[in-house]
Amino acid sequence: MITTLDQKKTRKFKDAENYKTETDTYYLLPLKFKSLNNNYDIITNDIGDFVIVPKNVVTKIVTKQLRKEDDLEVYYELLANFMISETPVSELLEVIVARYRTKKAFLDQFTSLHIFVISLRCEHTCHYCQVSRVTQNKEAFDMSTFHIDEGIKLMMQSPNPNITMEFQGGEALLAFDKIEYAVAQAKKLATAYNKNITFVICTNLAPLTDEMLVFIKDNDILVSTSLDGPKFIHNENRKRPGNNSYELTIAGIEKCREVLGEDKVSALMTTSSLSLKHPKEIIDEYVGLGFANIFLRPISPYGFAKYNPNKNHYFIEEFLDFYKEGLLHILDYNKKGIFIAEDYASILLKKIFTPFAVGYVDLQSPAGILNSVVVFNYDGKIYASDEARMIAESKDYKFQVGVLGESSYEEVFYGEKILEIAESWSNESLAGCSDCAFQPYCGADPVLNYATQGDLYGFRPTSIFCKKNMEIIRFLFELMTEDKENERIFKSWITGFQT
Amino acid sequence: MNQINYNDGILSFKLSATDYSESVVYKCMYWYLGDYNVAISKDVNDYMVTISLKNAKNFDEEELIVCLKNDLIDFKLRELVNNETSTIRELITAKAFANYDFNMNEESLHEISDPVGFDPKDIKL
Repeated sequence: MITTLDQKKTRKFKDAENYKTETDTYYLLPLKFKSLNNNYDIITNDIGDFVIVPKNVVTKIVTKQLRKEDDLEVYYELLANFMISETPVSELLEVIVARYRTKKAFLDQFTSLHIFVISLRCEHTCHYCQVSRVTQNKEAFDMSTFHIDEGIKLMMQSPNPNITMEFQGGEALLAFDKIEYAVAQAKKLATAYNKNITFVICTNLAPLTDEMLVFIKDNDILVSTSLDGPKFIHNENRKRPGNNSYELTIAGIEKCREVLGEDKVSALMTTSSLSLKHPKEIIDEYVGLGFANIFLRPISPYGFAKYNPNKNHYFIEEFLDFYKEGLLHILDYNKKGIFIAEDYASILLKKIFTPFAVGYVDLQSPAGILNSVVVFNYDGKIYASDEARMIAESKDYKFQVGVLGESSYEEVFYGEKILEIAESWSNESLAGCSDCAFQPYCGADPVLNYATQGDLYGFRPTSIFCKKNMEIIRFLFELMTEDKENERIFKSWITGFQT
Repeated sequence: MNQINYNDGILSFKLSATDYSESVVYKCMYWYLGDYNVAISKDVNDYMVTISLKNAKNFDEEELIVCLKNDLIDFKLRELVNNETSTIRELITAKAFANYDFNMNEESLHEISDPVGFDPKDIKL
């Protein structure tokens, strides 16, 4: 229908009175709820909107006892956030549909992150390392050029025009010749296949040389390193001959910043048992080094890390105490005018406050394995995720989905193994998740379920994934209800805009 | 909850099958399986539930009963929501994942203009 000029007088909002309706009947839209704390419940929907209400209001809403004239504010909050509708089918159904499609847009693009385990060799012996370490026999433990070529061929078949080629180890820089070869080969094919490739090297920076930095700069490669905190934590966690991992990492970060630029090097920390006692010192270290973000990550319960229980084992509740103390410390910094964001919270906050899909593998539904990431191991074996590779280090090949040079793209990404995993990779259909109010912000992780509970489906009442995410999401909402300043800071983390 | 008994570390009670569906009873008790052994049986009118702690014998049964009552109400409310909204949820999901071709370059059949003075045709692509 063509709109005539007479019909469209103005697009300005009319007075509030124009939007008030006479009806007192409302219909429920799909919603979920859960207790936030002793005072509040939270109501969410599938597209991530939320409304926080005092206790007992949920019962009134669901049993249709909510009266518009008595609870005007709550009523319109629910209406505006697609929790209720005044017509049996919401007049804004198409908006809800478009937003739901947007939330799941990562499925349209398919696999983006392609991890090449370029070498298993490493000169560090970190006690929490998820993979076995070897220092010798370059031929046996570096990725062959044949496997690199085959991995690149599969990568080019991804429907995603924006792909990331990430080099991991062992210590990736020990096989720098292979990185040079892989980058050159990938660049050759990228034009033909119309791919925009982001290159990342994950490295402890110890073997970094000036020559390497020239190549990294020339090819616009991002550097991701490990920094566990101040010297006494980092060097205790990350052993190497000379016990100087911290010194080499700091020197490497400074060199990278000088040559590549501040934004080309990032750092990740892993929380060991020792770290649990020092969240503030770890954060202070990151602030002192000028980082604008820190990722408070628990140890991975995979592969090699499982076999050092004295140093690696702690309960998820202990990590949550560490995380909360750290998050409060980070908020304090922000309140003093020093911008530093916590990455895990930022990912969750993006899911809470924006309509967009967030490309973080561990918090996706359907899960990130293969949908977003695939791993090509040094020996040519293909795994569904980095964690799947770590499980394989314990000789469990449950998540091996193919072999480079032998398996076709269809066999790897649409094979029988994936069909089996797919039955457990959507939290919308998992027991315990399907009714959870935090389901739209959370993800599904069949690999973690398998590693920690023995099956893909998992058991939510004892799941560390569930315990961690439920409590962190709840804590974020609680912080926002307690202090509006916290909400302002959280929003600045996802916009980068500080008011 | 009817016929509540606590004896020797075992809590038992009945739930009316008229008040609670099988789905509500099982979804609610699922969350207790981490810490408790739970057994559920059914006769014509009631579900019979017995609960005991996995790692200890005695527990504060009063506190547990309060928790159970709250959780049963919550899961009953969730069932009410699901019953009313399952069709609309299916509709949203089906429409969101429907295959369609969208051509950005296709000429719009509709007039595009804006009376507040913004002309979208001015946008330089």
